[in-house]
Order: sequence, then structure tokens, then C-alpha cells
Amino acid sequence: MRSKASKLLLAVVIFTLVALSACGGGGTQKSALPDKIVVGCLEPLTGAHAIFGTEAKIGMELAVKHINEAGGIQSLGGLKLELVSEDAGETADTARLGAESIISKHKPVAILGLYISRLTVAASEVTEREKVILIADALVDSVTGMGRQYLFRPAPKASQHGASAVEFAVEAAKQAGMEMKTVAILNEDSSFGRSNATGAMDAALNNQLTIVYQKEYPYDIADVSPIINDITKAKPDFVVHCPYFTDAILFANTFKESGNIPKFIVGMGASGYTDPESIKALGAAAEYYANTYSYNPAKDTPQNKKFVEEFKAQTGHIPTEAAGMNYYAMWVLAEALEQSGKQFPNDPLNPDNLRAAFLQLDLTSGPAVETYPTNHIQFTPTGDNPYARATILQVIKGEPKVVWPFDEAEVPVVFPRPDANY
Amino acid sequence: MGQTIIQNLINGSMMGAIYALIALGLSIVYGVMNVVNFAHGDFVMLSMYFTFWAGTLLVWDAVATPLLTVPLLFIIGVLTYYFLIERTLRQLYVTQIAVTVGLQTLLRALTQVVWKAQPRALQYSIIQGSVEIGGYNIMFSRLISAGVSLIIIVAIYLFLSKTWMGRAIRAASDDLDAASLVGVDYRRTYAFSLGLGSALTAIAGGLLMTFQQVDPTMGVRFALLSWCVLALAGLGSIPGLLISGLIVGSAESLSVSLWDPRARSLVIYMIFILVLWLRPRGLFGRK
Repeated sequence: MRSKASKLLLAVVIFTLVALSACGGGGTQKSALPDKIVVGCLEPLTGAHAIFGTEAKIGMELAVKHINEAGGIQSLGGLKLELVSEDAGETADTARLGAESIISKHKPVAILGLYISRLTVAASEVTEREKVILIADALVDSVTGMGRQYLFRPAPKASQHGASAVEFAVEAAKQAGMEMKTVAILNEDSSFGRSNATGAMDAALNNQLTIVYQKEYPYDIADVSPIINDITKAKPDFVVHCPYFTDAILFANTFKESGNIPKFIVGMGASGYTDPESIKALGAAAEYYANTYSYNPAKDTPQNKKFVEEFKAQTGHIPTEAAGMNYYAMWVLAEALEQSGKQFPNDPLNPDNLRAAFLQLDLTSGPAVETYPTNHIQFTPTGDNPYARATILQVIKGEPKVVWPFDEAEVPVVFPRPDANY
Repeated sequence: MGQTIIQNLINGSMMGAIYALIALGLSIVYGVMNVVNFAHGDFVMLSMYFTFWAGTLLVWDAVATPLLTVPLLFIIGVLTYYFLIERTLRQLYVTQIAVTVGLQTLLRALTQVVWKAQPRALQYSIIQGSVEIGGYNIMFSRLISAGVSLIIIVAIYLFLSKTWMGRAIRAASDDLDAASLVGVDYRRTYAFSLGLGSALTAIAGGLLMTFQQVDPTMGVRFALLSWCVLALAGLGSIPGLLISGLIVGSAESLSVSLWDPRARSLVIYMIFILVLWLRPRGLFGRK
């Protein structure tokens, strides 16, 4: 009986000791820092969306290089970042598996990706469960509307792109002494296209424009001549269009061949018309097309110039939207790590502390802001930046140039299109 | 409304002629060998990439590229027969399907490696522009592509009915044992049929590249479209294929304009299902 009681006592003592050690002595002990901070790149590196993922990865790699060259994370004793990558594939399942794989293999403090919204939503189930910060470059509004705690999106969301496209056209018309009264709104039928179109519709109504034509279509549409013919019949003053990628080429070529060109055509989201690959594929047909952009390649700051220069040297073209978004996203992460190091010196890499650090950010200068489309980065509890806005690029003499906001324009906008005929 | 319908019938008919040309290649292969070539659409995609190469590296206009791509695709078709299809002829249907679906995946992966995932388009073709006739906009690229498709379809019709090789193909299609008894070499005929079917995709690829772009995933779209045209026409009727192409193209165009662009596939496959249900041998197929 006595021996049973002492065994029980021993078990209670062991349990108490184990429990105390697991608590870390009440949280007063400093947790050991790793010798580097691992950051995950989870992008679609194969399949139909590989073009975006590949560019995004280059943007991240350059940002990590620049952050490390600048001395790493100062508040963490100059800890350097290390980028590890995993393919997110093309489907929700591959994205989920990619997230599981990168977290179990590398234990990153944060993951950047996944460009495509449905992949982001799928992977965020895993990052939320595992408490890993996900810095999203997918623009669909609802990505930040699911109550995720560890998800942040510095880039302007899709509806902000749609609104920017309409506001730009209205302002450009005013500047040219014209008045825009009617608009046609086109979008590919994913949630991304619809978010853009919703923003454009709201902005059109706010600007007293009449929407004379509106159509959603699947992005793999083979022949768009019926749509072009219908637009010609509706005769809008300008067209706002959210293409995905291949459809932008199809629309631009068909508009050109039909010979029926409205006063202006502006793309929203995903940089479909001004992407270097689109311009290469379209040649002269790309001329005068404009598109919203989540990044300003012409921003006249030292950090941005350095990024653009090195990106161009590596790829032969200016940073695409995917690359730009991830370049400044990595710098935003670096700023959050700095903040966490200062605010939570005992456990700066704890996901809850890092999340709190993100929510504390209020950046108006520094490398992140120098490469960001506006001069203010802050996050709401849902993870969006309320100060985000898209810039507008226009293809002029075969080169994408920043034309809006007018005070940050690289060159003056060409408005209306010289080849417009109605 | 009437004008919109006529405009869409014009657009759709022009696209439909190209669909008929693609389906003709599929029809020859299926009719002769009884092999369901799921990779047929990817041969169109491959042809479009070869057209892109010829257009950018050799600076050829897309309409001239079939001079190069037709022999190339013919050879690829013949080699595909000897190295892949021939081994499956005496196998179960499911094996043939697995092999051609495998070929489809291989071609898609191959094009992604060689040309990457981004779409490729040729910047210029001599057949660009449009003309307004009676208020209807007719694009030259579609018009000439439809015209060329029509000429090729007629030429193939004459080839199959007037030449020895053409008659051998039809004989093999009708009754292989009887054809063999009268001296038709089935291996040669099968290889030639797959070569010819593939060569037709080269012409279609060249024409499509005058107004479209190519990406590694678009083969499936053409495969399903050409299956639909073939099912609608039935085996053995070239004029039937042409009419079916026009029906599918017009249905596609009308659904995009008058209903919803997303309904395009729905309309096409509803036609497909209805034909299979009501008239399984197709509208013009032989008994």
C-alpha cells in the first residue's frame, strides 16, 4: 500500500517537472535564436501559372540578397535570411501539399506566395493550422476576408485595381479635355476577374458613368471576335478589362484586326496587357494599352532603382508585377522581423509575436516603402493595407511606362488612343 | 438582334471550317485504325509551336510555315505509329487510351520545357485586317483560314476517292482483312494515315497562328472540339465533317455573344450528347 502511494507521488512529481519545463519557466527564459531565418517561397513553379511563380521567386531571391547585404535583421543580431522554395503546382491539393512539405522540411518563419487566389486559400488552411505567417501576393479580395490570423497582403487587392483603372481613365480624359460617359467592363470569370470588375463597376457608378456592356468569359476562350463585335455595337467611350494572360493577347490582336478601337482600353489586375511577355507576343498590337500594376517600376528611389537594375540584368526586362510584389513583401517581412526583435526580444520568431509586429508596422520610409506603389504601409487586422493603390502602366513605343498617378508618372499618358475610331 | 445573329454565323462558320480541318485528321486516324487518339489536339498545339519557331527564327509568315511543318508533322505522325501506336493495336481499348493520353501528357510537358508556360504569338501576318460588308465585320485572318481549310478538305476528299493510296486507306477503314487480301499493306497504310492526320494539324496550326496564340494547355481544347465535330458528323463523310464544323463553330459563336461565353462548352457538349443519344452514328455517318 505504502509502495503504491510513493509510486503515485513520484508520478505526480515527474508530471509537474515535465509540465513546468514545457512552460519554459513561465515565459521568462529567452528562446534560442536559430543561426538563420528561413523564409519559404511557395509559388506555382510548374504548370500553367509557372510564368508568375518563376518571376515571383526571382523577386524574392533579390530581396533576400539585398536584405542580407544590408546586414540582415539588426534587432536579431544581424541574422540573415535564407530562402527555401517549393512548387505550389496548379491545384488546391498541390498547394496544400506544398505548404505541408515546406513547413515540415524547413520550418520557415513565414511563407511568401502563391499568386493564384485558390492556391492561396488552400495553402492558408495549412499555414493557419501550423501558425506560419503567409504573405500573400494573390489579389482576390476574399483572400483576406476569411478570418485568417496569420495572413497579410501588402499589395493592392483586386477591387482596388478595378477602381484605379476607372479613376485613371476618367482623370486622363479630363486632362485631355474630354469627358468619359460610357464604359464597357470585361473580365475573365475567376473570382479574381470578378473582384476587379466589382471594383470597376463601383468606381464607374461613383463617377456617373453608364455601363453599356458587361461580360464575363472563361480565360481559355478560343475566339473573342463575337465579344469584340458586341462591344463595337455598344460603342463605349472606353473599355476596362481584366484579362488573365493569354486572353489579353487574343483580345488585343482581335481588336486590332477588327479595326474597331474605342478611345481607350485599360486592363485591370495581373498586368495582362503590359507584362513584358504580352508585349513580346503582341509586338505593335500592344501599343497604347494600359494596365494596372501592383508595383511601380519607375519609382524614383535608390532601393527601387537597385532592384530594377539587377532584375533587368538577370532577366532582360523590368520587374513584372509578381516580382515587384514579392520584392517589397520580403522587405515588409524584414521590417516586421525588426519590429518583433525590438518588441519581443525574448521570442521574436514566435508566430503570435511576429503577427503582433506586423500589426504594429506603420512604414512611411525605408526599403519596403521605396519599392511600394504608395508611401504608406500598415495592416488592418484582416491583413490588408488600407493605403494600397495600383499604378498604371501604358505601352509606349514598345515599353511599359508608368503614366498614373500623374505626379509619379514616368512619361505623359497617350490619351485617347491615336488609332481610336469611335 | 438579326444582325448580331448573322455576324455570329459568319464568325462561327469561319472558325468551324478550321475545326472541320482538325477533325478531318482525327477522323482519318480513327476511321482507319480504330484508335482513339487523345493526343490529336496536342499535335495541333505542337504545330502551332513549330509555326511560332518558324515565324520567329526563320522569319516566315505563319501562312507559309506549313511548307516546313507539314512534312515535319507527317514524319512525327509516322514515327508515332511505328514506335507507339502499332504496339497497342492488338491490345485492349483501355491500353490504347492510356498510351495516347500518355502521349498527350508527354507533349504538354515537353512544350512546357522547350517553350515555357507563357503563351507565344506571332506579331505579324500578311493576312491581317478586316473588311466591312453590309455592316458585317469580316476579319481577313479568319476568312483566309476558312478558305484554305475548305481547299484542303476538298483536296483530301479527292485524294481519298481518286488515288490508289486514298482508296487503300478507305479500304482499310471498311474491311482490313479484305483490303489485305487485295494487297493493301496495312502497316504502311496505318502509318501513312497517322502521318496524314498529323500533317493536317500542321496546316490548321499555321492558320490558327495568324490570329491566335499558343500555350501548352490548349491541346485539350482542340481535342474535345474535334471529337465533338467528328461525333456530330459520324465516320466516313467528309462533307458531313465540314457541315458539322460549321454547326459547332456557329453554336460556339452564338453562345458567346447571345448567352454567356462560359456557356460555349456547355452548348457544344450538349450537341455532342444529343447526337450520341439520338443518332449515335452521327448526322452523316455510314451505317
